[in-house]
Parts: sequence; C-alpha cells; structure tokens
Amino acid sequence: MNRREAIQRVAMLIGGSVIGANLFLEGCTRPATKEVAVLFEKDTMNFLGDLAEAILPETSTPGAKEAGVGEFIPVMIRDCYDPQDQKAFLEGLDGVDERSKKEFGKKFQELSKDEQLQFVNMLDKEAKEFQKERGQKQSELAEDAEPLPNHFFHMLKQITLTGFFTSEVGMTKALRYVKIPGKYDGNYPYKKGERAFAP
Amino acid sequence: MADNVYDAIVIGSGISGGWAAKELTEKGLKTIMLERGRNVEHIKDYHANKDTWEYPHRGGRTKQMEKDYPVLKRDYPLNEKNLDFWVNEKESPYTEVKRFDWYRGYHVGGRSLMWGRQSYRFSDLDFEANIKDGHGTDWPIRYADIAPWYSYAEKWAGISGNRDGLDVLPDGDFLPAMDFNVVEKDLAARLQKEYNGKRHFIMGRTANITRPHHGRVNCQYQNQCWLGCNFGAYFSTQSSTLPPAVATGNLTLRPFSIVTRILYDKDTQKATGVEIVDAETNQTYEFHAKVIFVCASAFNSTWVLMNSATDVWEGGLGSSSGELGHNAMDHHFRCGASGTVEGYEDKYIFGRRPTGLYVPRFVNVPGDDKKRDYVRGFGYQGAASRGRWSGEVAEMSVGGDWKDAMLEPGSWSVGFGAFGEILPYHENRIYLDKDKKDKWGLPVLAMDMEIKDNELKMRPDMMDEMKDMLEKIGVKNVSTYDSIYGFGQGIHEMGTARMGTDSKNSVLNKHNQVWDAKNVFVTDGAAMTSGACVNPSLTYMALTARAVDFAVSELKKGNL
Repeated sequence: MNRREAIQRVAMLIGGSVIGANLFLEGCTRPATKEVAVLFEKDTMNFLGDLAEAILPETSTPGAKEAGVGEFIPVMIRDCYDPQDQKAFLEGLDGVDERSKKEFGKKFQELSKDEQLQFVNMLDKEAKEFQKERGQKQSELAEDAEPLPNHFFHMLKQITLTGFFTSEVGMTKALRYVKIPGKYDGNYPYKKGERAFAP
Repeated sequence: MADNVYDAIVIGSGISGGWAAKELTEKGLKTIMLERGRNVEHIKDYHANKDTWEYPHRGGRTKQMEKDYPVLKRDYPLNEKNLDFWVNEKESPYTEVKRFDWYRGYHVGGRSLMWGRQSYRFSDLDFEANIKDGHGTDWPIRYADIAPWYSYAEKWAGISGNRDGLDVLPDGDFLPAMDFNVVEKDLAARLQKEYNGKRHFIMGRTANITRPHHGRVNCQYQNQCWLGCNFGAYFSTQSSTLPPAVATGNLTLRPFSIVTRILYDKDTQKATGVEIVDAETNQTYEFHAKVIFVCASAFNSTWVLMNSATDVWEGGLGSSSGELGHNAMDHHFRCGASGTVEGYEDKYIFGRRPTGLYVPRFVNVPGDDKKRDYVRGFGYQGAASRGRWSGEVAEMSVGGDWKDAMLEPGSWSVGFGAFGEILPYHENRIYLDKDKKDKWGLPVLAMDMEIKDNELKMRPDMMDEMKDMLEKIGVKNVSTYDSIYGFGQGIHEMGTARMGTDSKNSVLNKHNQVWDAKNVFVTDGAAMTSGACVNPSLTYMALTARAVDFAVSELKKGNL
C-alpha cells in the first residue's frame, strides 16, 4: 500500500464513525494504524531524516539525521498526534516529491543541499501562513470544537526541533551537557560562540 | 489479633506521615505506617539515572496518556518521566461538582517525592489574619507556639536559605542559601533601592541541602528533584524521615493498605484502631493502637474521618461542629509578569539550581500605604535565567545558520509568578459521593469549591505589581500573563478538618487533636485554619512534630 492509499484509509476511518475513532485511540501502547505504520518503513524514516536534516543540517556539529530524528518522527506522529493531524502529516509527506519536482524538476532527495534548504524554507513560509489562518479559524469556532489540523511542515519542524534537542547527539554533541554539575555558578564567564548548556 | 496491635498508627506516608512515624518511633512507640499505594524504595525506584533521550517521547505526553489521565493533563504533572509517581486516575476517580484539579501520589513517600520543596514559616500576620478580618475562625495557635517546632523541623529536614530579617517571613534554622546569579543579584539590589527596603528578592528557601546533612549528600544542582534524587539531597520521606524511623526498630511499614475507617468506641469516646482493605488482595484487616495519626493528605484525611461515620457521629468522626469537609483552600496562581534584561552577555550560568527567587508578601502588611480592594495577599516565585536562543525570524528559521544560532545562549530574561491566599470559605467543601465508587468499592470525594471575589480582585494586582517592579528596576519588554487557575492546581490542598479554639467551630483543637476523639490527631493540610500565601508543607512538618510530642506526653500521663 502506498501513502496515498493509506491516507484515504485514514480519511475513511475518521469520517466513518465515532466508534471507529475511539477504537483508533484505544490500547495500552497505541498500535500504529496501517497508515501510520508506513512511517516506520525504512525508506520513509530515511526520507524523514533527510527532511529533518534540511531543517537542522550538519554544521560544525551533527545534524538532525545523525541525531535520529528520522526514527523519532514516526513515534511522535503515532503516539502524540490526533487523527486529523496524522492525516495531514501523511498527506503533506506524500506531496513532498511532487512539489519538489514542480519547483526544481527533481525529487526532494535528489536536490542539492542548497536546493533542499530553499525548498524547506519555502514550506516553512507556507506553513507559517497556514498556521496563522488556522489560528484565526479555530478562534471563530466553539471553544470545545475539534482542533483543526496543523500544517504538515509545522508538525515536521516542531518534532525535528524537539527530537534534535532532546536526542543524545543534540544534547551532548551539539549542546554542552553536564549531567551532574555538582555546583552552581551564576556568574560563569561566557564568550560569544560558545555553545549553550543542555537543560 | 495480637499481631495487629501497635502503640500508634500513622495513616499515610507523605511529608506529614513520615514525620509522624519518625517522631513516634523515636519516642519509643511501636508504630505501623499504613500507605495505600505501593512501596517506592529510596534510589532503587527513582528515575534520576535515565537521560531524556532514553524515553520514547523524550519525556512528553502521548494521546493515550492524556486519555488515561484527564486531570493530570491539565498541567505539568502529566509527563513520561515520572508517571508512576502519580495516581492512577481510573482506579481512583472523584467527582467535580465544580472543576477541581487533584494531583495525587499514592505510594510510599506520597508527594514528598514530587513536591516543590519551597519551605516558609507562617508569621503572626497569618495566624492572626482570620480573627482580624473576620474570614474563617481564629487559629488556636500563634507564631510563638509553633516557632520552636519550625526550628526542630528545619534542623532535621534541612532547609537552605538566608536569614533575611523580615517580619512577614520569619527566619529559620537554615543551611547556607543557594546563590543568586549575577543578574538576580543586581536586580535585587535595584529593587531594594527603588522601594526603600520595603520589597525584596530573596533566595528561595528550599528543602534542598547545601552541605552534607545527617548522612545525606548535598545538592549536585541537577534540578531533577521530581524524578527522585540518588543523593537524597532534597527532603522526602525516603531521604529524611523514614531512615531514622526504621533505625529505631519500632516501625512497621505496610504498603497497599487503604484505611477505610477509624474504629470508634462510644463508651470511651476514643478510637480503638482502623480498618483497612488490602489494595492488592481486597482482604479486610483491623489494626489497633492507642493513638492514631491521620496524615493521608488533606482531603483524603478528611475522607477517612467522613467514612468513619457511626450512629454517634453520622457525618463522620469529628463532624460535631459541622465544619468537617468545609473551608477547603489552595493557593491561586498562574499569573505574573516577565521581561528581558539587557547586557550581561559575557555571563552565563553553570549548574541547574533547584530553587529560584522569592518575593515575600508586601501587600496589606504594615507599611503598605496603598489601599487594596481585597484582603490578605500574595508572594512571588521566579528567577532570572539565560536560555537558549530560540528566535523565529522571518529571514532565517530553517538551515545551518539558524541551527548554529540556536546552539548559543540567548539573552537574559526574568519572570515571576504570584501565589495568592484563598480565604477559608465555609461553602468551599468536599463530601462523600456515595453514588460513585473507586476500584475498591469505596465512595469517592465530591469537590465543590471555587475562588471568589477576593481572589479575583487580587489577581490583577498579582500581575500589575510585578510589572511595575520589573519596569522600575530596568527590565525591558515586560508583559503580564494570566493563564487561568483551576482550584487544586496549586497542589496545596488545605482545610476541611480545621483547627480552632472551640469544639463548636472546628474539627481539631490546638494540638491537632480531634475534639470528638482525643486519641486521633490530624496533622496534614486538612488541619489548616487559613492558608496564608506561602508554601505550606513546612508548617505540616512542624505541626506534626508538635502534635506527636503532645500525644506522647498525654499517653504517658494516661490521658489518652
């Protein structure tokens, strides 16, 4: 089953019945629906890792891919997002290559680093615009109304940031991590360029 | 049956129960401490060794967790890291007549494992508040009655702080305070100057030890207290009160023991013991003792009393005054102000300090000339810090340059949140909801309380006063916030079995002794006659030690 089929199934599940939606959420560890399970396929995680890497690339410190963000995203989408957001994420992800072809004539993973950066920059701007409108629309709905879906890239970027800065690589190799500081110095010298301490 | 006979029974093993067990056993009483939940062993059952990246969701919350914990999810407690320190809400539901957030810890140590550790003394401003403005009933004690017991509790628990010499916030027997950071130090000095010494940023007094103390290792500045501390550097039952109690050889600790009622003898007008249901086997047992300390956390202590109804006291043990279950309190908060501090770019912070600044109450105190349209007051907790740069700028919010910028510290900021007193309203109450049962078939509590006019009038001041202060001392971009308070969110439940001067106006006398059953003592938050605006746990420690001292001397005199 490809992602497009998967999305249609999610749509049916959500639109189908309330009972379906409840079943969807039950269980101790949340079982991935077949649709979300696609995210755990090796190729997809690799693809997600490349997208995340474009957002937080390797510089003098490791990037999002090395930090395992590609593997982290499926876990978060499966366990921490509502069905309407899962659907939006899968749809958005499904459209990445098509969009990339339209803008650059190549699939995302075939783009140069510069082109990838341009591409995610473009999505970022669109996502920001989308989120602004979403907020406006949501505020016009009743207070207990179902949340409207978020933009695919908005979610991707949030999870990438969280995933990177809470990963072992992010905390210990990008930031400075001192597990047991042993003391407090609130007058500690700092020189521009030195990295921040991990929380 | 002889196996089930002790000198003393302690119900609950949190801050108050732990203290009761320590004091009773050290005074030679064979004591059983009954805890409704599982055991949590010091160090072994903590989570401090685990790093953030070892959690599948990095400490966050899943949709399943939100579904399983509809109350916890309303605030920070719902998280992946110490979820097993929080109550199972499905097993132990309650009824919200009005919204009430109840954050509970049902295990050995109770909330002493997750508490905020801020430790302040009440002053006579607090003990005299009710009699002076007419809200609630008079406290049966004054500062002088409890001061020696505050010292006693502080010396064992280990409270770090400065002696600041302020009337509204009496000094204690402290370990050395934690340090101000460079920005806090300057802001504190400017504040003193701007307000002619009438307002203060002081170092938060916290139950984190700053040097080795009674066999415990001093704080290592990890600021992960609520995962449990392998160094025993913050006060908890496990780190501080349980070891000496165990060392006496007089303590029996029985986890999975839900006390269902106190057994009352009409002829002697005393309690004879308690009945429990074993949470694992559902078996019922009785334990008998000469004296009973009820320390099950404020509202659960009152639940035990209410569920101990007999034909003598239909409303529950201690209900003769009509006050049992009434005068519920908390601290209202989640509003304040924050801003940014310019400069100090060559300064940073090493280590994670597990406390912040405290701003003692300055409204409605002697020397406050401003007319306020509310009574009582509030204090603030906050800090200055230098976080990571996390700016979203239009030109740059993806890519390598952006990432590198985010790996550096950002600018300094400072923020404070206020904690305000809630008046003891008779109509703010809890009662047994006999239509709803928990996993063990026991009736649950119904919560029916709300903040009223006085608190609502206080909240704008809680924001505006801080805004003014921050602006006066040069903080930039100051903004206020009110993220809406839900009753109970302060996790400072107080009242419902208050102390008082007379058996007609209260449940407990000045020794925390139930008027209607003199060998029963309630020494946790339930006993509070008013709430003040400071964190209350230190007062429970002091009241508990004081009440045990009294109880044991009465026992020796043959009065119990």
